[in-house]
Amino acid sequence: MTGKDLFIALGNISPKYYDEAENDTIASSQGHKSLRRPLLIAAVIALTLLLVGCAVIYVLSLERLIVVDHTDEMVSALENGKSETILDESTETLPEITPGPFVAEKVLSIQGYEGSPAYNALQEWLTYVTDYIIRNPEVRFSNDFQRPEAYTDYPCYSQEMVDKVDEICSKYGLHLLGKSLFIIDAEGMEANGLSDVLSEEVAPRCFYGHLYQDGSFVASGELEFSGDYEKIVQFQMHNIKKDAFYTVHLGLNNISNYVQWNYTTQDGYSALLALNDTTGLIFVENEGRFISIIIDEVPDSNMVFTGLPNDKQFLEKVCDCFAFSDLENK
Amino acid sequence: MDDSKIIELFFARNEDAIKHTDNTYGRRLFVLADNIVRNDQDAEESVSDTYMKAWDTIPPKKPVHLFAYLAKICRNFALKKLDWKAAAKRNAEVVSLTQEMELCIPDMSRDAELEGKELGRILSTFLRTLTPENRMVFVRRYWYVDTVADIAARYGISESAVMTRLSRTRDKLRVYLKKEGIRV
Repeated sequence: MTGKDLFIALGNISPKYYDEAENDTIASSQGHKSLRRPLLIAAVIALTLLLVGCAVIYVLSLERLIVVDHTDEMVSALENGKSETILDESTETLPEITPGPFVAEKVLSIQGYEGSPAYNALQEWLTYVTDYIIRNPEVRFSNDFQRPEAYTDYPCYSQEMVDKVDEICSKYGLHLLGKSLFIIDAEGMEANGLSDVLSEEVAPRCFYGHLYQDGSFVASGELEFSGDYEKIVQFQMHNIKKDAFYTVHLGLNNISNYVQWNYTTQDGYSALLALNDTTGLIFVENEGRFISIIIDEVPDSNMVFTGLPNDKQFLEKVCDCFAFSDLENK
Repeated sequence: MDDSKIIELFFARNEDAIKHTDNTYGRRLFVLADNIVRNDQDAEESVSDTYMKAWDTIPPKKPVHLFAYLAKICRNFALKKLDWKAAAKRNAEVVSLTQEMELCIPDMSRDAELEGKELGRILSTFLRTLTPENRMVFVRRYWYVDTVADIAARYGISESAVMTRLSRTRDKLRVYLKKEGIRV
């Protein structure tokens, strides 16, 4: 069996699933339920989202990465009875969904701290896109516009949006990423010079990624830990040049649930680490790049999630699996 | 025009059935085919072939959901038209998708020969285990060949979230296929 076999065999799945995905309605035994803009977060939003008490301010902190803060908007929606019930990945049932805009409480930059050109560019882009979608709500579902090849990885649905990308790049002195190459395995990652992001003694269970023409890349894979921490984690590293325009961002809820601290990596870089029950975050800035690593748990063979170890040393051990020197300097 | 009325036209052998099918679903079918073949002419031919097939098969078939019926036919025609070698040379999206699908195959299943329909049945059962949201993201990517950016915009989530969800679902599928391999 090959990937191509699997891809072709998808043509034989039950029609209700591709009908569901085309109409954004959920196929269920009760008929079809309308699902407006499926929601991302796996928890009910509560007023406890608001930060309480005194926060310890670190030199490097998640708060310095926040580009958009939707907290007030979400609290207002709750107070006005427009509460949102979010899909819970751990249950088999779909809770009732009520209309409302989907947003994450906080939207974070993964391309630089506040004040950096890439951060400012992302903030301007997100503000523009939000306004654009309000003005043109159906544009996302239209396939009339053929995106130019250089803009393949930018969510542009019209020439106006393409022009905005160019305008932002010019304003902040950034360049386009260029077309991306999907790299399927560890051999390919090594052939493309990307295996250097892992420390020498680290052997990932799987390793693959996307490499952009400008040298920025996303590397993903799994790491297995034994001894004190019997755990398999999945990582996704966004290793982006500081002068690249990158529109991917991170949505976080319950930011106060993250324990944050600064850590010096094995190769001497200052890292911001953040950890909660389910997710670990690592942010490092080197000479030419901003590096963000998202750590998630891999379920066991029975597909059960047991959570990440509630231990700073665990995330530091994960951090030590990576090398953060600028690849151009090698 | 709604599906039931279009199907009535098919049953009445009224050629307006094709016109109304094209008006209602033509654009979406073209996009589906074009995502695969990346060639306007081949995409248009795939859609035309789909209409001919629909004309030949309705009746006696009476699809409950007409778009789903047409989309499957269209996808199959597009895949038949796809020159895989040429697609590999230009690193086409569809080739990237098959490479992503490779990640879902557990080592022990690489030698397994599974008939397409049986594999489709297994995949359907797997899809049932997913939340609707994860399932739709997966199907948009690997059935409709949407780009990550398109999926992110469609559902109002970040591209990073799309990639994470796809990655997790592929991991789940690998575990699922491994279990199925043990039972086969």
